[in-house]
Amino acid sequence: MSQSKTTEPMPLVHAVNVHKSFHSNEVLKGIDVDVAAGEVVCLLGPSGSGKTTFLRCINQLETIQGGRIWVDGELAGYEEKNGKLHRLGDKQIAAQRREIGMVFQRFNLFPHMTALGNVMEAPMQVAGVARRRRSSEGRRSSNVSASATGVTAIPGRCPAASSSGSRSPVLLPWNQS
Amino acid sequence: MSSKTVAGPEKGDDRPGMIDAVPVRHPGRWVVIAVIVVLAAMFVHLLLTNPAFNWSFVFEAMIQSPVLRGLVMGTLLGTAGSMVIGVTLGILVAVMRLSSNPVLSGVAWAFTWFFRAVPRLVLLTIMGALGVLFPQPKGLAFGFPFGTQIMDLLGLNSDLTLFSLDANQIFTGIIGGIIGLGLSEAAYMAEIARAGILSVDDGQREAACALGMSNGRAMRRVVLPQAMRVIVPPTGNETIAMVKDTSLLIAIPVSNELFFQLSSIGSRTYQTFPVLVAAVIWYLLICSVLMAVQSRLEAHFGRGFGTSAPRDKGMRAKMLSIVGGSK
Repeated sequence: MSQSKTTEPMPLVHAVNVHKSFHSNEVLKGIDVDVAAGEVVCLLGPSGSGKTTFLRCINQLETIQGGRIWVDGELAGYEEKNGKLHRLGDKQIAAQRREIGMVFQRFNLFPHMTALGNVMEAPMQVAGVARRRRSSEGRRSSNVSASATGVTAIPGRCPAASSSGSRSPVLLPWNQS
Repeated sequence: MSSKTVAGPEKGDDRPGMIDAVPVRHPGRWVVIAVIVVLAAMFVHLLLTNPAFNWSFVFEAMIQSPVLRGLVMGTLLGTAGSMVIGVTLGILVAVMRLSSNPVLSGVAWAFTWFFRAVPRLVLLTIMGALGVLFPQPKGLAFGFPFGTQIMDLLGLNSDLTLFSLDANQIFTGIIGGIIGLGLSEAAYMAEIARAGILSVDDGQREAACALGMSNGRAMRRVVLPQAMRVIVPPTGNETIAMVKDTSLLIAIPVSNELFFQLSSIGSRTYQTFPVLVAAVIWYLLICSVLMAVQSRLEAHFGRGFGTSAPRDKGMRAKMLSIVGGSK
């Protein structure tokens, strides 16, 4: 991690002294990471060293025991009031996650939906594209994002029918919108 | 064919061609088929020739108007109503059982424990007798909890009751039966739904959360639709079992029900056996329809798992190969 000492605003992802342990097994022992907007960062390490755990912490799929993570200037998972941390509610955490894209190691596509349905699910269900316009607008914007990221699977097909190589692009479009 | 090697101009001539082999013989299969055919013929002979069946009376009894009324208002309505209660309450109890809130999961556990342990016949008898708990002047009162006691403490002459119902009328009719069977069914459905929800990989919930869905929405949009694949087949079983269990409604007592109506025709006319056959035929017809519906539902909720479409074709091919396997 290259730390450039400038007086710019907070980096897009700003993690300080992140601690995470599963029971007695401490996985993250004080991680500091800064990622600037537009920067591409690779986390490298042997398997089991906590790369995925750290990513899951950013998205609050894991709760951390120590340290702070800011995403785009917003403290992840908590709210600071009068010097005391308050855990955010289900809805507020969901709202924060909406701004964060994530591709899972095993993809976790929804097998009961078509490839197009997988791409459309987030803009339809959580970003509040009006139900009236769902078939036209949502479909159009998903087609745009699908073609922009090169979804090679046939949109009307279920993920199990697509090859594994063509599965991961299905996950990506939401990250960019 | 090794001797005649004609050295033709094309080199592919003496390579092995299409396979037209003699299939393996299954003599044991034919013996079994013969035995079954003889047994089936004996059974059909019994059905057609034994005078105790009295077939014309069987069909006459099947379409008597009290029987049809019992079929629709008792058996079918009872099944539909109690399954609606059973499935919705069952899924709710299953979600409660899996909740991290110990009070909710404890209540769900206690509900399942009680209603799985009480036999349906006993439960329905109790439902019919529940009117004893709410005697008439006051009836089954809806209002502020402990309203009477609170107003007594305050020395006021009111019981904070908004409205009250005649408990005897509610619990002794088909409604009492539907409530009783529905509660009992909910306990079984809760276990089925819990198994279904647990069968969905946790990564699915996480992926839905990563998209920014709340827990409730992730459950409704992502987890439950996939859990249905596991939930539907045993639910079909439960529905079919419920059709048969509506014959227990007489314990309430609800007499407007298929089996009671048919057996009372039997005892009136001394044709006791034909009416039993009539009941069997009705139950077979209803359950066949339900099974057809179930396989449609399974195909719908099994989508994305590659088990729905090809099965039909494979089954047909298998049947054809038994009949004439040569081609």
